[in-house]
Amino acid sequence: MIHTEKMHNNSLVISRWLSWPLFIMFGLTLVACGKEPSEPKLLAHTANEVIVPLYAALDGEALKQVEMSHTFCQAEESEQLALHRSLQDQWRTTMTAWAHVQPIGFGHIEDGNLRWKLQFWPDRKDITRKKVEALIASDEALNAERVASASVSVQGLAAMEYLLFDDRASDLVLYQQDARRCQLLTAIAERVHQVTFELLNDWYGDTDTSGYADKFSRPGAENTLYPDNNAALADLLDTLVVGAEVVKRNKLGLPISNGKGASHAKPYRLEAWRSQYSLELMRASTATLEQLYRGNGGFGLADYLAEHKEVDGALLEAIDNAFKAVNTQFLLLEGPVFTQIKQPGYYAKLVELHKRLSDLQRNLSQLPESLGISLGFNSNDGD
Amino acid sequence: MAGGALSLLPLSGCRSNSRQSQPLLLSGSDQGKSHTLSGWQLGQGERFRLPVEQRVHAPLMRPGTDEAVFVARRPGTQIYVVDVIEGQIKQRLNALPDRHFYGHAVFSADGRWLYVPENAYAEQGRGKVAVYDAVANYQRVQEFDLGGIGPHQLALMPDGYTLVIALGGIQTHPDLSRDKLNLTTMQSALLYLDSRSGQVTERFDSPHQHLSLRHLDVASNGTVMVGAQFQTSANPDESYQGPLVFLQLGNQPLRAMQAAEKIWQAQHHYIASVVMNRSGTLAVTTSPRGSVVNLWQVEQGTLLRAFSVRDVAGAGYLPDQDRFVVSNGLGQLFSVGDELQLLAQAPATHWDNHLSVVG
Repeated sequence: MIHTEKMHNNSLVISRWLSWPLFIMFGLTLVACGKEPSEPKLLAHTANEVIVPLYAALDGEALKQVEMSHTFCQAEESEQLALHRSLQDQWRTTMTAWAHVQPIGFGHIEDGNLRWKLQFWPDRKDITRKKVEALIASDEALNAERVASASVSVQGLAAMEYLLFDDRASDLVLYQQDARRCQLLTAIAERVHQVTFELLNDWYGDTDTSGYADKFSRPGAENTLYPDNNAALADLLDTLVVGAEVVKRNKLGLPISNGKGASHAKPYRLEAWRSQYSLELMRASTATLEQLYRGNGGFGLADYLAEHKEVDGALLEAIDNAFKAVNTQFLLLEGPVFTQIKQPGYYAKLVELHKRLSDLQRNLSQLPESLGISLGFNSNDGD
Repeated sequence: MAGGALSLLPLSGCRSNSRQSQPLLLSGSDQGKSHTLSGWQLGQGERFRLPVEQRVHAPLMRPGTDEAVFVARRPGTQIYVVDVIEGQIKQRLNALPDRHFYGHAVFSADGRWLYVPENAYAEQGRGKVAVYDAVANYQRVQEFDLGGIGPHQLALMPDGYTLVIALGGIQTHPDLSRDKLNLTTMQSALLYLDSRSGQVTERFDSPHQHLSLRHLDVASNGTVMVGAQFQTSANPDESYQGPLVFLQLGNQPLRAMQAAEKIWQAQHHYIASVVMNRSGTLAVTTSPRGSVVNLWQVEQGTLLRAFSVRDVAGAGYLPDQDRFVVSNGLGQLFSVGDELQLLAQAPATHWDNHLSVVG
């Protein structure tokens, strides 16, 4: 079963609606079993009420982005400025939806290089600019298929950001001079949607193949992906530990040179520096970590941990406080970081945010051991 | 799994056509912070599980005996000699001061000499191969200098005296955790060493400066297959998407196995185990970071199949069934051939990097 190629086509969209009642029925069955262990409840809730809605939101925004790209590219010159701004807004919304999904470290997103296909980052040598411009300058047909076969640096939201926000490349005059710029923009938007659609459907599954949400929710000896509850819990914990690390180190630590001083700040190391939207993306990814932890209004990891006496209550309190401290510091910051990062007062606030994220990450990283679970045993090995 | 009986799964999916007992698999296995050595009999389950002080890496049988050695992984300093019938540790060997092992070793064909790669970290990380005399209670009798850094897996060539050694090229020091100290200058290579003279007779450089050759296997015809790990931290800007598995034959340079870019990308720059069948026609490689097992046609140099197995690392060959076996950090064992079959699920077990098949 696990080696079969996953097929994705548009008929799957129907199965997405059909599979919801199944999830609900499955949930009810478990409740009816009496004194059930809490792992299935946690895993099913996490998959269906936290993760799947985030993928659904991303797919919905990606679709809107396709429509708006078409509208922009087909508009009269006189309307283009306003539509360009609307499309930029839509990109920000789509990108935020992606930043919400980004920390989730399991599922189809981990296959091949799908992550890069949605966002090629970091890109220290600005390969995106070179490859995008080269493709526009070529005489190849520009459509989603061509983009799909191109370098990952011309696929995804970072390539769209270049076309929409770059000081030079986003100039409307360029769009008006060469229709190929808009063709590529639309093709990338379509390609992004293809990938988000594929990801969403992999979580839903179809009539022949159970979706990832189902696999994640029902560990067992026959489930080669998750032979026991701990394997699924390990993926959830790994997402929290690694997700917090990515926000702390990649999104913030590297741009602020880990607190060496405002004069050492590196604004071009920020995620989404062209759109100057990095702060919102940090917030979004952190919000997902908190949703995964607190359960988004339902039975979350925090509830599960509170039931386990072997987990130190002081650790849970420290995590709770660390999330609150990070959120408070986010409230004190207004974007864009890109233009303010070298100002000492602003920089100091970023350093404080980094400190609080480190505190959060350190506390989260103690969870696996407190549950006696080890994360990615061989994949973290390095020998 | 909580509270459930610790069932040893029967080989329900396995085509069991041999009446004799099924092979014994050896591997390190961990549970939480404790390190153990395991023997697992296919079709029956756990034969032994022995607690040890250091995390081990690769086990191997001593030819002509019931004795296996398990070598501690970097920066470990112990080798455990195990009687696999009794399931007992017979002896513990310790590294010299200022030396540690890399988790691999190989015996001479007659089972007398044990060759063990070492890090002479007080000497700028010079790579050595120590020689132990198994007949003389595993006395350390000699060492060979490799003129390079980071010897990892090694194997005995069909001629019976040449050792082929994957020189990883990466300098580490036990006081600095597992940090890599020389990524800008690292030089990985495949070395051939004459075990009679201790001289390096041939050296084939890695095809890329940041490609560290680590794991290998040798077929009966002398074909060497080697798996690499790309050091992304050496150059974060460079998104290497090239080959990670190579063949070396005769005096020709390393030749890359042929696969599409996405196949290499799926391995996340990391090959854990390389195992060939006896005739050297087929091979498997494992990639725990990509959760991928690849089955290769060696002579054609091409990929035959790819299977998805989470956190997969250990690999071996089951001669009776002409199939491969792989293990993972979730305690699972799969057989690999035309299709993938779950053979067993060991409870509360993380199979470590490598496994070895006995008999």
